[in-house]
Amino acid sequence: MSYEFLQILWFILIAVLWIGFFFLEGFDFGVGMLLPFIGKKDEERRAVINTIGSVWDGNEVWLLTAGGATFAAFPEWYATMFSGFYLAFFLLLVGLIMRGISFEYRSKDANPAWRNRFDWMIAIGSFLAALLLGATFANLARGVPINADKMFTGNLFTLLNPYGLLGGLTTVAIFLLHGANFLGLKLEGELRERVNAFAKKLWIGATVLYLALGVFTYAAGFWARGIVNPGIVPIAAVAVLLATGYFINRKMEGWAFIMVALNIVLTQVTFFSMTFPNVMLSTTNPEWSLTIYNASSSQYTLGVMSIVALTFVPIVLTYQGWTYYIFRKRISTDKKSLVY
Amino acid sequence: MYESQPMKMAALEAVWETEEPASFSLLTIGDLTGMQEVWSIRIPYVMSFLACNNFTCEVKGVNELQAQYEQQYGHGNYVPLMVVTYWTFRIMMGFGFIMMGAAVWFLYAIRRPDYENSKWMKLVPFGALFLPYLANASGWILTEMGRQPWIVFGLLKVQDAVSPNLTPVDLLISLIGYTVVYGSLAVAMVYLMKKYAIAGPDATMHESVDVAPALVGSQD
Repeated sequence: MSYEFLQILWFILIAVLWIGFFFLEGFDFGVGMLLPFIGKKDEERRAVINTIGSVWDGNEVWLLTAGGATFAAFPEWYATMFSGFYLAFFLLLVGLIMRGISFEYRSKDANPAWRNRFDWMIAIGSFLAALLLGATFANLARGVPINADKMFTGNLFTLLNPYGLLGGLTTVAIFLLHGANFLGLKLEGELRERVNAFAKKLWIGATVLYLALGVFTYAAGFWARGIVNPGIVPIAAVAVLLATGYFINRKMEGWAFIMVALNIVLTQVTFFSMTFPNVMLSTTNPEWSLTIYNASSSQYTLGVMSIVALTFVPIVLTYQGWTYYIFRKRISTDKKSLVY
Repeated sequence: MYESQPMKMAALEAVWETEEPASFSLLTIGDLTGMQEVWSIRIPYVMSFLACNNFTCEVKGVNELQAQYEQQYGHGNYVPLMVVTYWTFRIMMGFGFIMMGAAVWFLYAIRRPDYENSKWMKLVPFGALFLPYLANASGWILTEMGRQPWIVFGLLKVQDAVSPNLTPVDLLISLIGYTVVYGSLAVAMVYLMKKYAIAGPDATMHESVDVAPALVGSQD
């Protein structure tokens, strides 16, 4: 396999990992953010947590794999991005740590104040993670100041520009909707009704923000930076998001979930086609952008990685899919069936 | 370590001048500059045995290695912080021997029929609980501090490996941040461990808060 082929292959694989992550952790973050609002009593909150209880850990692994693959396949991209976005990623990690610990510690004490505190930590941690990841990707699409040595020359506030913030808030809104749809599929009875009411309002917010993001991206000319024309993909993404509203109104939760999932996937495909073959655009001077050609590992490394990935990824996908299949039953708030 | 990182070996033993055969130091007091020893208790030949499995080999001293590295790699200070390397090595080894001693003592102590009520039985296992963690942490501190100023010995120095765009403020924020986060988690963890330790092995896990907590303890 030629060097160029391997570089393009790994760009696509990393894109797939990020897409998988946003699709899976999207509803985890959404459920986390909705937790204090959907669940009023302890059994209700327990039921909400149980919907993602068996899968949230596995979903987070997609983030680790995406980061790890970036490190191994494109070390210069990893270095510039993770060192450049240092404080933003530190906050992201704090959010993820808070969230992870809260899932585990929450049930260990009967004190309602203890549980409430950790439930809010789940919500805030999920919110921070969604916001910062959205802002990161928006900034990657927009471009960030990078000098001739492939060094990021801004600071935390460079990332909190209007476009980045809009990207972050849109991601939060879409994940809230995604989470609400997932809860609609997994809960039953009164909780299911409550979730449906939420979903209707969340859909409006998500659509407005998403359209705003699309308009901003188009008006600022971020589309055709790379060599691939996204084509009808972004239009399809908007269409499925609008279709979601119809399905939520008709309480067809399965279809609503599929529509938002498609929206997330198509948005990410748009993003990666927009930037290809750049991985980090430089606003200081386009010549200094990182591309898959100047930021990648050696041919040997990419070759070995490809063999390992093609062996293990199908296994991982199989057992993760199997987990979802096993835990497919709806969760009730009946105390006998809840697992603490 | 003797072959690939001789400076670390010399630093953990506080061997300033090359010795052949090398003695093992039980206690060394250095002077205030950290460059000379003032007084030490040493066991002869043992260091050579630790380094190369015979009683006669030469262990290079810090001063000789520093001169050698300056010639090889250029001007600079290649000596790690000896106070830290010396004492972390002693802590690691010392705690290891104490743990072994505690295990032997324990084997002996449980032969008595009323050992559960013995005063020592309440203290020793509890104290020994922390030793592995402290020994392990000391060992890691020794490994990392002993390799300074290199991050990859002989190839890359720490000052060359640092991300150039990071300011000290960034690093301070994240360092303090992680300390606060992990510190809070430690507090929560100790609270939970204490609660469940006091409750005893028969305590049931909490379920819904609307039900009275079913915490059955085996308190004496």
